[in-house]
Amino acid sequence: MRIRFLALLLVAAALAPVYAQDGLSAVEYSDYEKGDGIFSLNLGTNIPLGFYDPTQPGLVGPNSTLGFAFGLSYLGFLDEHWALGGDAGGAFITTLAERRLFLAPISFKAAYAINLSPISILPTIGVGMAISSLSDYKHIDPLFKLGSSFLWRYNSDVSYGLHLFADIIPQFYEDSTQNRVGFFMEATLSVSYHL
Amino acid sequence: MKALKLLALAAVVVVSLSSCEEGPVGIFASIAGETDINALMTKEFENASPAFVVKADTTMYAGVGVLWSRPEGGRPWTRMDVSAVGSGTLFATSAAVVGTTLYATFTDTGTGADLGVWSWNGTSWNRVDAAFPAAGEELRCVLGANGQVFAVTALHAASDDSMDTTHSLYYLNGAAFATAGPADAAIGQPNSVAFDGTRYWFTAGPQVLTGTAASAIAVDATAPAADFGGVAYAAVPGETVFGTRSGVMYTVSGTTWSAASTAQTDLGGDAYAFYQPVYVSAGTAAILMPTRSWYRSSTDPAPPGGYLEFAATGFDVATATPNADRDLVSWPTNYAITLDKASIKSIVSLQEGTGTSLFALTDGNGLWSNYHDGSVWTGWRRE
Repeated sequence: MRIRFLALLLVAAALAPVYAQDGLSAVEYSDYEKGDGIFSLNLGTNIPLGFYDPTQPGLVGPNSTLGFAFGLSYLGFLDEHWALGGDAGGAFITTLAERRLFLAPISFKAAYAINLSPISILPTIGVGMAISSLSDYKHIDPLFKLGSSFLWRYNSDVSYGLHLFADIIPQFYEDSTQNRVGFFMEATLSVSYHL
Repeated sequence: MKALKLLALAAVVVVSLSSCEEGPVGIFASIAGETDINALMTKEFENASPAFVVKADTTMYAGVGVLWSRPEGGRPWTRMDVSAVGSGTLFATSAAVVGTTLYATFTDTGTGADLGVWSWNGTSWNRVDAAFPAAGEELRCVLGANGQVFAVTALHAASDDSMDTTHSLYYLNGAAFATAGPADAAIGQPNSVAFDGTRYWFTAGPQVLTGTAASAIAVDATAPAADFGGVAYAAVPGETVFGTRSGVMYTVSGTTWSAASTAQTDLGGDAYAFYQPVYVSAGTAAILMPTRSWYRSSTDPAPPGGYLEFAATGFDVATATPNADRDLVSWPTNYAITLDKASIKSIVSLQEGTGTSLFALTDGNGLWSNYHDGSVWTGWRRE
């Protein structure tokens, strides 16, 4: 049924200029419209990429193994393309010395939906903060998030998704010799509900 | 948009519940500076409380439950065959070295029996003074300094509704133990010894024992009133350094005592409990003072704080302040990921190969070492 509908849509799109010439209006199909929302539950991995020391050239290796990542996210559409939202999650990462780093990134984000129904690509940029915890120590730092979500619409209510995001976390201390920028890659799969 | 509001609310809650406690090094900086501190780890040592580490001839020996050994500069640690000492599982509880001979004490874990003092010459085990200890006395440990082996025993005696414990100190006189002075004396248990070139110095709880000969050790009546945890002789500045369980350090030069003006405390103001310190001559000369988790009373716990390090050159106990940079025998990141906040009962320094090895004996956090090859430290890592 859905395939037929899409076929009809494609035919309609192809004929649109003809009808336009005849004075008929064209209709653009979109998976999203103003007021739509996507709520996602994410599970996957966090890949530490490395650390940047402002006083040294190049990146220092991550000294960590792949971590476990989870999260929640929401996007609310302003129109058929633009959406605003946020996400919150966590990641457990084991370091070379077998310590446990916990990262909790929280961000507000803006996304642009490219509709290739049934697939949607949502390039996203976000800003927020990251709570880092290691042994007894915690730190709250700014967070910049960049990446994209790829959603495959299973039905009108549910999509399955792949999310690839780079988390950039500058960490500042009173002792500036301890300042570093952490780079992490989130690669998660999700089930997304269309609200 | 309700979900967005919920996310924002969750963020506010998470932030408000999170305190921002900065460590001695940055979180990312410390991870970036990590080394593989577990590369040499012996799995059985990981959560153990080692009793001792010594070196005899070209072999290192460790009492970590049972007796382990490894070649000087080599790995791995292997369990030693002590079947000549006794059957069953035998825990090695203390050791001392004279020349190339190892002297060790063992406890049978099955019966709880002390098995006496045994010597190991690299080939065979031999019981030392089969008549020692005397009936009724319990062997506590052996201690070594200046090429001399001492043995400590305890004697329990019922007194009204309580049990009084006295201690005796012996020294190895040829093939037999002879009294070193204190005999069934009302003193604490001698637990460490140092030799300053002229005198032996023992810590024995509230007492300090001293003497110029192994056969003539006595309570030092001039020692300050304190609960002593350990002693070491520091060639620089040429003083014997004492740690106490109240966080106060003392030194004695000749027979003249000096005291720290205040107790060393953690950031919360709780005084540390010091145990057996060590003088480190490799690299920058330093005095390392281990701190131990310890209940001075039911309401006065001492916090574990790793170890405090002091530059030996110019060391003045009255004004000594710990080196905040943590860089005398390692570096801040290495210290932070290894012994920071550990409960350490002793640190020992041993020549190994052409360099110097430090061993930190922790309470429940295994055995750690740090090797100086003549120019740099490897940093602390698990044995």
